[in-house]
Amino acid sequence: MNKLSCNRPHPLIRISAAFVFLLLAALAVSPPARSANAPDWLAAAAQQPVPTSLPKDVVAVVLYSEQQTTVKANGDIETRYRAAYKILRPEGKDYGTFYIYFSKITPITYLKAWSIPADGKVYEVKDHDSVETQMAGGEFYDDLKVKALVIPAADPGNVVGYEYVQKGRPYIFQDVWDFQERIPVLRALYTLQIPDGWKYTSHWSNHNEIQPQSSGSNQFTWQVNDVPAVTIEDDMPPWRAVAGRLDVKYFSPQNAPQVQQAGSWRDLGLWYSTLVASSRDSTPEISAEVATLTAQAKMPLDKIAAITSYMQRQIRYVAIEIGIGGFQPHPAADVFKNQYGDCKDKATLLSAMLKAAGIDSYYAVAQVYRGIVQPQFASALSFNHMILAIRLPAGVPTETLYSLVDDPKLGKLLFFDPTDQYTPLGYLPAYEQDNDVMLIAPDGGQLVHLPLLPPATNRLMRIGQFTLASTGSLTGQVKEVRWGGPAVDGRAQYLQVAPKDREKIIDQFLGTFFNNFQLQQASVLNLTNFSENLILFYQLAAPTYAKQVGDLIILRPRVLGEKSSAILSGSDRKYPVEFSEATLQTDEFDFTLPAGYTVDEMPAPVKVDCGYISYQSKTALDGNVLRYTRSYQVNKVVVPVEDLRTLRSALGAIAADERSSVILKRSS
Amino acid sequence: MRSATCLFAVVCVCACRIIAFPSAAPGDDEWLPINPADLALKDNPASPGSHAMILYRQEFTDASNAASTEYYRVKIFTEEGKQQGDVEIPFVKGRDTIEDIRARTVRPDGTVIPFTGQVFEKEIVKAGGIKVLEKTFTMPDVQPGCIIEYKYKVQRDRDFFWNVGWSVQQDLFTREADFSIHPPGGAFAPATFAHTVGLGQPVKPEKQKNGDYTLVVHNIPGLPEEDYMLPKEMLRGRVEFIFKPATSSPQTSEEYWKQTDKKINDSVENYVNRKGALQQIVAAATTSSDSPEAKLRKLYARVQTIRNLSYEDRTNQEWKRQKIQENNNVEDVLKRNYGYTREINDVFIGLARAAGFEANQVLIAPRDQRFFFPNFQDVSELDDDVVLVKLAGQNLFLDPSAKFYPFGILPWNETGVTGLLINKEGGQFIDIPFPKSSDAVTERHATLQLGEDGSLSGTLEVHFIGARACALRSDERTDDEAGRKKDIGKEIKSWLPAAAKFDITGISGWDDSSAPLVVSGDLTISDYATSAGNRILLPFTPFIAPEPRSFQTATRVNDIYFHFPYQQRDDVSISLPPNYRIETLPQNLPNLASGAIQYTITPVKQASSLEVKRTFDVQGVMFPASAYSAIRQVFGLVKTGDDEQAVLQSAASAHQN
Repeated sequence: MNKLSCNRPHPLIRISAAFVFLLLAALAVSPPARSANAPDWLAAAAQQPVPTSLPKDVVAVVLYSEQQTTVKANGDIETRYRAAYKILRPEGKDYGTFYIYFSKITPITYLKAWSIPADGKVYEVKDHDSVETQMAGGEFYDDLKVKALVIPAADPGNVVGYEYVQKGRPYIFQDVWDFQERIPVLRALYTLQIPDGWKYTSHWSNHNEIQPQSSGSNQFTWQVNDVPAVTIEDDMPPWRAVAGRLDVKYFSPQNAPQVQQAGSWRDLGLWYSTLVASSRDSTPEISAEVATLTAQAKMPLDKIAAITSYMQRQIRYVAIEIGIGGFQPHPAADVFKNQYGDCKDKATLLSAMLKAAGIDSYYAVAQVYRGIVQPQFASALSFNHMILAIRLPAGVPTETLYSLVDDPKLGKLLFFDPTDQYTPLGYLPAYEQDNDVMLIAPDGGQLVHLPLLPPATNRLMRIGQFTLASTGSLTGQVKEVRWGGPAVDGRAQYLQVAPKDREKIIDQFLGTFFNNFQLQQASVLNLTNFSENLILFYQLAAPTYAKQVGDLIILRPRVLGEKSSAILSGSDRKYPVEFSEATLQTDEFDFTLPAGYTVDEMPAPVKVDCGYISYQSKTALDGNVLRYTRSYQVNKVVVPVEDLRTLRSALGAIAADERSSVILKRSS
Repeated sequence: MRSATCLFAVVCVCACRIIAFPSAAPGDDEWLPINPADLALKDNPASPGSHAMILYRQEFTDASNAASTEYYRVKIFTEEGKQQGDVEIPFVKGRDTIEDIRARTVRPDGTVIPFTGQVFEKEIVKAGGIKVLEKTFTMPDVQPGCIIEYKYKVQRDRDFFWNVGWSVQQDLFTREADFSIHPPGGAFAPATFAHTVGLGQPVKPEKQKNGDYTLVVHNIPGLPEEDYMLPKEMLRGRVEFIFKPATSSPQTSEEYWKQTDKKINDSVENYVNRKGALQQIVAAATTSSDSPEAKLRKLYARVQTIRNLSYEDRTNQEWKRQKIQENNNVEDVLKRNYGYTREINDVFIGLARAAGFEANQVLIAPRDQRFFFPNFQDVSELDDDVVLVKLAGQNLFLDPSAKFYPFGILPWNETGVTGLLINKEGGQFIDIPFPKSSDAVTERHATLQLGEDGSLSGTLEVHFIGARACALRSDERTDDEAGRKKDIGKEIKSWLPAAAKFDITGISGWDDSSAPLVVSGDLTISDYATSAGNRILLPFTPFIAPEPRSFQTATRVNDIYFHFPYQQRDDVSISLPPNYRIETLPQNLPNLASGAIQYTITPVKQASSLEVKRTFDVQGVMFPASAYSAIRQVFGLVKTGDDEQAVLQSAASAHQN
């Protein structure tokens, strides 16, 4: 598996400002010119013509890439990477800087790069010209580093290339060939050399399966040609869910852990069980804390709630990962003593505490992006997160628990993410819903699909009462009630800023819809009481909200909130649209109209349902009160490309409704 | 706290030490006593509503030993404040060492949990023999209500330990901070000067009998991030010390600059003084009938043909291949036709002088990077330059090395600053004025047709004029046509509704820096107007001003800072669908025809079209935070005006009425 340390989805790389500065400075401090020749493979690649059929906006093209992995009998590996890029446009200059990730156990033993100018001598740079920094992708300390090398003269028309060799002593006996890029790839090769007697299994993602050429000495070579670029689109599935990739698991039939890793989900789970065998041992101190926490808890669910809440809020997220620490949690005793840990540490301590309260639980190895886990290919590298499956004792009421899975052997399993600070017991963070986890059950691993929580469990409800003056001034108050996902989002937003700055969040929100408004009063209820609905009240005055135009007043009844989206307004898409969660959101706004005005025009009701989202709105007059109601529901989170046309149409109708106005006319 | 080396603004300054804290730093395993009231503290009484605050901070520097000790005591108020328990101390390997790290957590009940964990060494960056690392550690059992404390010693290489300063303002509110410095001895004279930046009011460290300088400050607010503010690091409150070699005689600031100026002037004169070569160029580039201004313009244009190496990102390998040589004087620059920014401006000085003008170098600190404080006595801060030319008795500031800036227009970061005039008298500072808003103009001309379905389509032509065009040319200088189209198209799209499509059909003016840069394209916005029964509501303008989004909160801490004054001038013509006419237009539209920010929007009803003229003119650069409420209101009015709509009525409906 990938290192299990994710707090929430986050960008993979955080490169420090100092790193960027020194990287740029490296341009100026690079060593004296070296006369060099390009290696044969690069010289040959440079001769390859670029197809004229490529789109004109392509910034560069991969002429050739190669990955040769050699596995030694002791499990160590050595991988040689080669790549040749032709820079086609100035924006392609970025391909003249490349990054390599490494650590103490995956050192770079050889590194060179070259540039072949269209009309000139070859440039060469080496390892000592590179700039290094430690990775900081959300972890407090991680021994993974990144090395960057700037290749001279990465200008349009020139060819740049690099070659490096990386050694490794992997914990996971699996190799990955990521052959697709954001630019077209003309030719890519992957070679696997395994010791005699070893075997491998492979799996292709987002590409047709291709059979390897075998050299007869347990060496296998795969090749792909003319691989199109992955284009980046808003709200598209994650990279790994769309980019072509080959996963290869290799093993010696005599090596039990390797065989387990290469086997089924069950086998993989057994291997991981061994790795974490003693982590969850309790201590008297842990037991004492559990006793204190559950002293007032009468029912099992109360106990679970008390312990999970403690884990979520009390134990601080701090990831310290060195070597195997990316996969193996710290012992529960250490996590409890320090009161901090990463996702697997938190899951470990939670499991130990639940055990002390007499409740069983199981690790669930997770992935924070959808579409990455391939059910037909059990792979430890599919995951990057850890949550917990809590086995509910018989008789526990489950009406308010939505993250439940019925397991034929283990019974009702309540999945819970102790790393997510704001998602309460019974719910799942949006990115874990409709996603797969590997449950580490007593008899091995099993893939479990976590449910997509129903729309009504992720609710945002706004109720507003407003008074409209004949000047166009609008005054009123709004009550916002949130639970499920919208409450999690709201709590994250309000709790992460200092309490004194929370009103600014409401200011910013209202500022999207009003000009020259005054927020007269605001309050937030249940902000840290996660088992209750998050409730916001705000009172405002917007003197210029409705527009006076002659003897007319133009009033947009959709005062607040935006459900429409411009994601489909651009050119045709290549990839599906992904919503974060199913949700139901409603607005109910009443306007007391000014005396002397009557409704002259009213928007027609709207009702659209494309299957993925449904929306309806209505404006009605009751005496001198105008009522606007609407509901917006996301039913499914992934909209395939073939259905985007209907989604676009639905979003268009929502946008039109959000802009529609009521026209009032002076009657006296 | 995320970084123990961040800097910090002072509300209250107290020059005397308070009794609770001894003047000496506590020993390795000693901690200052904690007032029980601090353990019970639930919030910051001076600034309620914080995640955490620094209760006390101590920084003692012994410059004679190139060492300092730091002591932090931080109170945690909320769950989110717990991240202060992750501590990072950056240092440069081989130059600094971080020693004697001690830390502890004190629970609200007074229980002490010593830090016994591992201190990690994280590599921030390693390049060219330099290695910047971070000592990192995370405190145990950090909970709301607890106090975390840590301290450490920084030992620096004496060779690098010349100027020191106190980072007074941190991101967190600081209740009290105690600083002292023992000046270096030996080769260095005692501290001669303490310079303060961003501290709200003058702060003067107190000189003690033993020669040490001390400062105690109270209630220093944190520094919040806001839109349209000066760069954070320019605002941070700090105190800087300058130590002079003991061999040099003490200088006033005036003396320092006079002497420095003279030295630089000698160097400039030596570089520029190639009369013969310069006069040949002048003779070739100008005619005797040229007016003085015409002459200057021609020389400016000539100098702008010199290749400016400062604009090129190349490795040393590439420079060597190109056989780039060092220029020893302006003649070299002219002969080789390349040079760096200052060399090119020196050529212009030489040519202007050869043509009979009085021309001098003016050294400046570009205001996108730092403020210049003469009292700081550091000429290295003046790393940019412009040329002052006297034309008809008027001061004219020019920068011909700024490749895409025509005669008379300076890059914004070189305006509104004070520079050092380089001449033989020495020590004279001169103000370079801010530009006028008319020097940076965006004109948008839209000719559009409204469909009965509410869609809008037609053409949009954008004229980037003056500094706006220069900046774009400079930004896009390495891009090709497709890249420019992409970037400029993206900028123009950011002014339009999200659903708008804008396809650029042409860009002209890239190569003539004195002409506007004109971008033409086809604009379509589906569902632009909204129907309301028989009527259509037609927004006046498809353009969305970005500024109001930044002024939505009711309060603000920092002054408001625009990089430069600018203007927008729009004319939007929208032809109506055949069967529609304008029923009515709003009255009492916002009209701000005076003041530092001006705005007008004027719709004109035509028989078959709506013509809208809009002007927006930001004439100021800096507005005090105290004026925020008025500024917010102004931008609210801008948004109000931009959101106005005309009411259209179908002919059939009008007939019924």
